[in-house]
Amino acid sequence: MRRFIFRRTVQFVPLLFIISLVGFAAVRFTGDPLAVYLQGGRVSPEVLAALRARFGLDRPPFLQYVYWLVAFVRGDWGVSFVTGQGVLAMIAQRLPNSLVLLASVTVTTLVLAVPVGIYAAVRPQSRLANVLDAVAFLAFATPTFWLGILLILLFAVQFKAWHLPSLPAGGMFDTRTGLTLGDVLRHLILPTTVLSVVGVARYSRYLRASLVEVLHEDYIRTARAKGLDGRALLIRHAMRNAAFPVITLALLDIPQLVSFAVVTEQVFSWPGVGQMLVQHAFRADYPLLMGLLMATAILVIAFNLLADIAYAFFDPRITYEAG
Amino acid sequence: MKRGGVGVPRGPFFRGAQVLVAAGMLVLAGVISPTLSAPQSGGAIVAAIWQEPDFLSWVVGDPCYSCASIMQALFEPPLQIDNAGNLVPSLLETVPTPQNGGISADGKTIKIKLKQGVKWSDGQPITVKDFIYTWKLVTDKETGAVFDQGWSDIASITPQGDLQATIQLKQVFAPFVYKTLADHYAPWMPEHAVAGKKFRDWARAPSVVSGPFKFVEFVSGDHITVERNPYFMPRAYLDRITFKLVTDRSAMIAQLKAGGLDAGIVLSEPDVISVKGDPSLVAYAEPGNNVELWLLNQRDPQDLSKPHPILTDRRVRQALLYGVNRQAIATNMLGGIAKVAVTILDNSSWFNTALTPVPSDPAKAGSLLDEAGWKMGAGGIRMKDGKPLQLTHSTTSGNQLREQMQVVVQQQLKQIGVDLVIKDYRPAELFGSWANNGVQFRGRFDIIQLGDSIIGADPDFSHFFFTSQITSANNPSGYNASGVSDPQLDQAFTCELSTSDVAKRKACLNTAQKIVYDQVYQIYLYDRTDILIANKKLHGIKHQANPVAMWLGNTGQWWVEK
Repeated sequence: MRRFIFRRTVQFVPLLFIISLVGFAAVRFTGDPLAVYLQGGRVSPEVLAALRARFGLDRPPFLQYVYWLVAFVRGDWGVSFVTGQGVLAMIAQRLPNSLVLLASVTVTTLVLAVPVGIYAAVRPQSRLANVLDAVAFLAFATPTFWLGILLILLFAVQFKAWHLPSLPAGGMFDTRTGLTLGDVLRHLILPTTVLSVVGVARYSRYLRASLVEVLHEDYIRTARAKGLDGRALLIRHAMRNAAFPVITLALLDIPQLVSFAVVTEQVFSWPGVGQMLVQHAFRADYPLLMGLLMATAILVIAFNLLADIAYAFFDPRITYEAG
Repeated sequence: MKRGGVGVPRGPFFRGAQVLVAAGMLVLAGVISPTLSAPQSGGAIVAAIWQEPDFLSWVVGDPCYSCASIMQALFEPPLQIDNAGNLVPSLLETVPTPQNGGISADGKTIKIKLKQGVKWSDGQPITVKDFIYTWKLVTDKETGAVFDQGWSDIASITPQGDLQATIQLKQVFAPFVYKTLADHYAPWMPEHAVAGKKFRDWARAPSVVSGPFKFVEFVSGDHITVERNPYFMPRAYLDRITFKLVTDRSAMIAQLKAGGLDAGIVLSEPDVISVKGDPSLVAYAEPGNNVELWLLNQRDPQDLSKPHPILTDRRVRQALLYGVNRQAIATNMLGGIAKVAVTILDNSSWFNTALTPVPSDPAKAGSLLDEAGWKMGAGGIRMKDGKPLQLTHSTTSGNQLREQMQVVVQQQLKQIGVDLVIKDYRPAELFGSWANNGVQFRGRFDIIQLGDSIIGADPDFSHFFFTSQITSANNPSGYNASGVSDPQLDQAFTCELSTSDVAKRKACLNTAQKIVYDQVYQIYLYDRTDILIANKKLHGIKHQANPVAMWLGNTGQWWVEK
């Protein structure tokens, strides 16, 4: 296992290099970082030339990449064209907000998906299982943006109009009262619901399929014949094998949630990394976009490795050593 | 009992009763409308912005509307601009003009005088030394200032004490007073607070300011908070304003309705319709200086050295103007809130009042195209020399209102035999520079729809049309991306830029507007409405005829009912 981990870690390097090369070319398609200054004829040619030189945009693209790569390897992720602040510092400032949302979504998803998946596997023909199936399909088909706005209109706007206790319509906390744990938890309810809906539908269905397969295995039949039934059979024998594909799937999904909760963060004005990605993509802020790309790539690769390790941990039959 | 009139008892009992009734009515009026007229000091509000400022000083910051809104609250310019576009004194005692000797006869010498007692937010006096410092800061390449028009025209500034100075310009620059003393790009920076510091770092959290509010905190991605500046006179009514970042317009409207926000800006006409009937909200809508317009390329997008094969014919441009039903767009798509535009100076005191909106007239459009040799083809599209009358129409992708408008005008122009092909781009690509192969500045378009305006409140709009401003490989920063070259128009602009006399300048600008109007070098669709939606408890909101200030130029006068 140690050799496997070492091998995979070494493979990170060329993989990250390829990602950075492709990413560097791709961010150029976001447009011109100086476009915002060109509107209205306000900025003189001399100032534009000075800005271009300041941002290193007067160099050929290949040279710009080399400068970026050398700095990145030395731990300097560059400076944002927009704010003039360090890219790493900017990501570090917003990342905790995204992690709070991510943790809330992950916990909610698993807490709801597991019992739903178990019930659907154990009682596949029941009316409730059919209803849960239909709800799952509805969840898959519902656009995140639409669901977010709908929940805001219902629980924030309409509930207030009906003089019922209402939920906040956006933000991470109420700036009028200041940052408190209770206030953040209240503000988490709607964005967590939006992001969890598809997750619950997905994981519950994966768990259901996995559990159905496991429940038909010979060793389960043997355990039942030995007198084990109900909860003991399910938790101690079936779930252990049925759950780990879901756990590894969750590990693979986690890094994507960090930067891909873009729509939800926009709709709920959640000050996370996803919101920063959108705002700075519109400004063609190359250094920040590269920083976010590399951070996401590192997280995806790291969590992929974690998923492989988890797989081997849960299933002793799996080995990554050669021979 | 004395009788004061026919049938009117005047005894003390009845006099007393009259007084009691009158007093009761006054009390009742007070209970029903306790805060009818008197502003109340105190309270805090949350106002939404939809783009986070990169910096909080105009010297290095992007002049987006959201960004400028906060800068207005923090920094006061020497002169303000009222809703008619006229200059009024703010930090200065008077507006310098040729009439009062503030501007010399040759227009190159300008005298300014600060009011007594104007102070920075730390109690230090604002002096002309801060003006000199700001000038050096802006013109120093190390600062990386994004806007230096007017500032770079200064040859020298000679102080006479702390409150007076004489500015010597390198050459006559008529917009100087507007751009450098009154506009968004006018406020001074505090020398005593900035000197020795890295300006870009200071500009993210300006410790000393001159406006009605002072900086408290900037939480990236979430909010910026400002509080009352005790040294600004007259003192602001509100204790505090929190500018909250809300990047989605639907979410902003929902938060306004839910009470999470007290005000939202940079909203559009359909947003006004969506809050109609909400008892807690009021929509403020006034015509602004921004105009939604079409640029009509005069150069061949395939080869910029050649004229455009279709749009250089004035009859075709006129036909497009007659063919688009701008009134229908304003009524049906914009709720009747916006009005059809005439020129780019519509809501300015410099507007040429002899010009009137051109009404939609498809029949006239058709006959103009016939005259130009574009005959109706079998498929309903006009043809000439075997080629169809086909034009691409580009705008910013993702802008729902513009995308819907494109479909509408596509249908309208189809009625007159024009095939409009829609091809949209992301803003950074559409407005990218020549160096980055931007669509507009590389001339890769037939028609572009965008919103644009004069710069600040100064009426000069020569940058759109000066021949010397045509964007090219030799002049990549030129703003005349349409390639318009009209010697008479050039002459009119040269005339208006070379005089500080308001009457003379107005005459030159009238000529320039008439030429653009007659030649249809641009099609002005409608005057964009400056819109702010606010909680009914928020009062004192006033509009400024300034495309940057709009509704947030007087936050010091805002007050909230308790």
